[in-house]
Amino acid sequence: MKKLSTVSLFIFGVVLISILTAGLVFYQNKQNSQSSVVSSANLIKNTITKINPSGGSLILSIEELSKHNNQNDCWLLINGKIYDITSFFGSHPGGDRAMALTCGTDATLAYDKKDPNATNTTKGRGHSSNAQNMLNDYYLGDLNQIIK
Amino acid sequence: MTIIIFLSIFPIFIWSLMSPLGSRFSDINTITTSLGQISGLVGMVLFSVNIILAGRFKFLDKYFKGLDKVYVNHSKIGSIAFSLMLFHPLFLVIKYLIVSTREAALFFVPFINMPISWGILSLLIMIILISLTFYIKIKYNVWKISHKFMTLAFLFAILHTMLISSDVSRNNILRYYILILALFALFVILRKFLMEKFSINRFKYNIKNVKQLNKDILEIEMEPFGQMMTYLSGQFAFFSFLSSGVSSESHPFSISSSDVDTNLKITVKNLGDYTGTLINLKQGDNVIVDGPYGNFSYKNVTNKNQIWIAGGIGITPFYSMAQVLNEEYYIDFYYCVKEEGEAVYVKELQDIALKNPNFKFNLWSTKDKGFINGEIMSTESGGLADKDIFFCGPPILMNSLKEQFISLGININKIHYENFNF
Repeated sequence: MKKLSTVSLFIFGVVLISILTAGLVFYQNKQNSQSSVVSSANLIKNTITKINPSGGSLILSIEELSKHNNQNDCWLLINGKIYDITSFFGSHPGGDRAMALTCGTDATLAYDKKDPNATNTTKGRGHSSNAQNMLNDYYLGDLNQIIK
Repeated sequence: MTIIIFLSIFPIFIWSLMSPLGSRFSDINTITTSLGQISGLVGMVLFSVNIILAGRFKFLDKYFKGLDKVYVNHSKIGSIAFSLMLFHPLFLVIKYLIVSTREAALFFVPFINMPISWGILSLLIMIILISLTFYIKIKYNVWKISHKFMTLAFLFAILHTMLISSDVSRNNILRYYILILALFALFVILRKFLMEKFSINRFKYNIKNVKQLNKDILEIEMEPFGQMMTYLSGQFAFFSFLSSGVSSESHPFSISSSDVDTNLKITVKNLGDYTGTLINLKQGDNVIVDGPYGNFSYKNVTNKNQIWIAGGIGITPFYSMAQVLNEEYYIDFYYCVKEEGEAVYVKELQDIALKNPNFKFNLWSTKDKGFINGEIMSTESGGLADKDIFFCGPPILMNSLKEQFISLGININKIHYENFNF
C-alpha cells in the first residue's frame, strides 16, 4: 500500500508542477482576460445544457425564472441579470433560508438590503464587492435573453 | 471490512441519485468533475473511518482479531484515502485545463478561493505527514507527535467539504452523512485525548525490577498499584513509563508474564532509540498500562494440536503462554534465533518441556542449522495439515513463513500471527 501512496504522490507532483509552471511562469498575461471569459461562457453553457437537455433555445423570461423557485433549483433575478445560485446553497454567510425565500423571483431588493422581505423603505446595507464577484460566477444571462 | 466498503459506497449511491448518470458522464468535463467528486467523497469517508480505527477500541480489537491487524488496516486505508484525495483536485482541474493553463494553475494557488484553500492546506499537511510516515525515518516519538497533526488536516478537510459549493452542499443527506461521520471521528480523537490525559481505563503499575537477560534484552517487572489488569497469555498492551530517563509516550509490548501472575512483565529488545532508554527505569517509577489488546492466544482456537514459532524477540507471547500451558495441548514449539546466545528463557522453557511431555521445545539456531522453513517443520512435527500454527517475530520471517504455509496448502484460518511492527 505504500506503493500506492508513492505512485499517487509522484503523479500528483508531476501534474502539479507542470500545471503551475505552464500556468504561472510561461503564461502570457494578455490572454488572461480573454480566456476567463471563455471559461465562464463554457461553464454557463454546461449549466444550460443541464437545464435544457433537449438543446433547443431557451428564453430567460420571468416565467422561466419562476419555475426555478426552490433550494434544489434556484434562479434569482438581480438588477436585470439572472443567476443560478443552486450550488451556492451551503456557502451563504447569511444562511440558506434567506436565499431560499427569494428563489424564482426578482431578488434585487433582497440582495441590496440583505433582507428577503425587503421593500423600498427597508433600511439595510447591500452586499460587498467581494460578494458581487462571487455572484458573477453564477451568472446565466440577462432577463429575456435567448440562449441557444 | 464489509462495513467500511459499504460506508464508502453509500455516498456514491446518493450522489448518483441526484442527477441522471448520463449527464454526469456525457463529456470530458462532466466525467472528470464526477470522478473528482467521487474521489473527494470516498476519500473523506475513508479519512473519517481511519481516525475511528485508530481509536484503540476494544470492539475493533475483537472484530479484526487483534488490534495489530486494525493498525495494519489503518495503514492500508490511510494510503487509499490519501491517494483518492491526491487525485481529487487532479480530476477537478481538468475542466479548467481545457480552457487555459493559467486558470488551472490558479486553481492550485491558495487564498484565492477560501473553500478551495482549506482543501489545499489539508492536502499539504497530509503530504508532509504521510511522507514522514512512509519515506522519512524519524524517531517513533517524534513521528507519533507529528501524526497527531492529522487532526488539523482533517479539520481543514471538513471545512473544505462543508464550505465548497458542490453536491455535498446541495444534498442534505450527503451533507449530514459526511458531517456525522466526521463528528464521530472528532469525538474519537477527543475521547482518545481525554483518556490519555486523565488515564481513564488505564491501569497503574510501579516498576519492581529491571533485569538484563542478555546484552540486548531487558525484562521489566511491574507490580500493580491499585487495580490489576486481567489479560490472557499472549496478549499485548500499551505502556507509558513516567520516568526521568524515558520519554512518556505509550508503546505497545507483548506481555511475557503469564495470566496467573500478579506482577506484569514485559521483555524488550534494545532496538536503539526508545527501547535503548528503558535501562534507565528505576524501581518505583510509575507505569500507565492500556490494555489488554490482541487475539493471539492458543486458547482462542479449538484445535489442541499446535505449532508455535517464535523469531527472536517474538518469544514474548509464547513464553507467556508456555507458563500456563496444560497437558491437554500438544505443542511443538520452534524458537528461532540467529545464535544460541541470543535466546532468553531457555532454561525455563526446557523445564516446562521436562514437566509436560506434550510440549516439545526446539531451540533453532540459524547459525548452526540454517533458516527454518515449512518443510523442515512438517517433517519434524509429523505433518502440519491437522495443526493450527502460531507465529510471531520480525516482519521478514513472518512474511516468509506465511507464504510458505499457504503454498504448503494450509488453510489461512489455521495460521495465526502477531504483527510486532505496526
